[in-house]
Amino acid sequence: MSTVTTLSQSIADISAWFEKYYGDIEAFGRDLSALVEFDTAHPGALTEKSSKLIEQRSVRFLEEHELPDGAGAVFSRSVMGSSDGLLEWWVRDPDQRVARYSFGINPTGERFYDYERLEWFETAFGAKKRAIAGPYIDYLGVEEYIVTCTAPLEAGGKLVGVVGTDNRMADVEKALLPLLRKVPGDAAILNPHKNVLVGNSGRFVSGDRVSTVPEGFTITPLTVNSIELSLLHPSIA
Amino acid sequence: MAQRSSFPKVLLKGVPNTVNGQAIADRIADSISLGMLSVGERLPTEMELASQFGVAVATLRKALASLRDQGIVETRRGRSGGTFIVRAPYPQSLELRNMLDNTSIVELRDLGDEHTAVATAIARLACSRAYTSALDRLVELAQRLKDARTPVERATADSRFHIELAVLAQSPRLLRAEVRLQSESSPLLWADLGGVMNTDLATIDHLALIDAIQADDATRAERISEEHIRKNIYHLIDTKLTLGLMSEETQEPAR
Repeated sequence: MSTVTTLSQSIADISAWFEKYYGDIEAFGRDLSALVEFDTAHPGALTEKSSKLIEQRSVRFLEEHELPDGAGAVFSRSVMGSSDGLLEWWVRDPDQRVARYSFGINPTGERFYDYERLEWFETAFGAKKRAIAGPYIDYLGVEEYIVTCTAPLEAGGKLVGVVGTDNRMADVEKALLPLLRKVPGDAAILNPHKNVLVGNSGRFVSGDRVSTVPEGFTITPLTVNSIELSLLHPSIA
Repeated sequence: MAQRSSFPKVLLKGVPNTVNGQAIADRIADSISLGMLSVGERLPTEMELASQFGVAVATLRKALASLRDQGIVETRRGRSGGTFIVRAPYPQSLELRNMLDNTSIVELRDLGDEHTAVATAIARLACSRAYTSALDRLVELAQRLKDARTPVERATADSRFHIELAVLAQSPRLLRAEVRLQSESSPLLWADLGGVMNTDLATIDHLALIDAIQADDATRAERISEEHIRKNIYHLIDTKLTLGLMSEETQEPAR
């Protein structure tokens, strides 16, 4: 295969990988939509039954997908008319079982997890579109170096929050490196801020921002619906 | 996070055979405020702790519950779960005075040396990795120090600023180092032990640092960090010497 076809094949494969992953998250979200039932007596909470069903569906998502470390739904405080936040979030345990993760949901607490101001919530809920946030250290959250993938979550015909997954950088790297290795030369997947998500060499390492395109390199957008991901790769003469 | 397989021996000394949960909680809290255990560390498992203290698991659980209620430890689920130290109990003024008295000038200098190495690396990495939107949040945190009124509020606001900056550098190792260094130095720095640190001057440094990061000027960011820590250590040494002088004067026998 020529360099040109190898490169375009890689771009197509990497794009398809993201498209598939987000498609799965959205399907997960559609299932959750039908399960969300707020507890009218307690603003900021789901009914016990709803919470249990969301747990089962989230656990199934984690069982069916190897990559994510955590998955679930996160709700807007204003939609719920509650001062406390609500995160129905499920994470893998050391023994690969799944457990509920508890966050600081009280806004006056010292360790309040102010999630509505984070990119993965602001974009998926505020701008109502798919979001990719990271790599970042989720301080006060799950306290890991992760990438968060989210999509808008609706219930009863209106936007209520986001559905999504947390993915540890070490695992994201493992999942994407095989695809990235096929790109001829040094290459890296860039997030919407032009920070390296995963690179295929020590030249472009996760987290670093590519503020100027290095000489001899080109940035080509990936074709993933409504997410500005791109591939940094050697220019083809 | 670092995990301890066993407690420092000194913590286990003198624990009476019949102890209640509160005595163990106090023992653990004291060891954190004295810096023998650091913020960010993971405690051994309940079983291990119980056997090290020579108590029943139920007693040990009571101790952990009390520490959780005080916001000193937090139990997290997940693959990297466990019970973590999240906050050092704020030491009393007298404890801080003794701590400063018992720390030599060269040890304070060394604290500054390590902190300089960590903070300058954080400043440099934040330049090449921080998202612009995240910097707005940092400006808010810088403002919080200016508005802080008590030593505890000041210490909390100051360390929160530096920890958040470390988050932006995206190195989990450097973040852990910064959390530990903050819990070691910030109570001393903001304690009311005579000379009080000026929050306005510290805030000016913090805002200048944000400005350098925004401009992607790693050299300037490193220089500001280094100078900021130099000032802090200077203040600590100065306070230590002033306290020493005061106690010498009061101990001087009347002639």
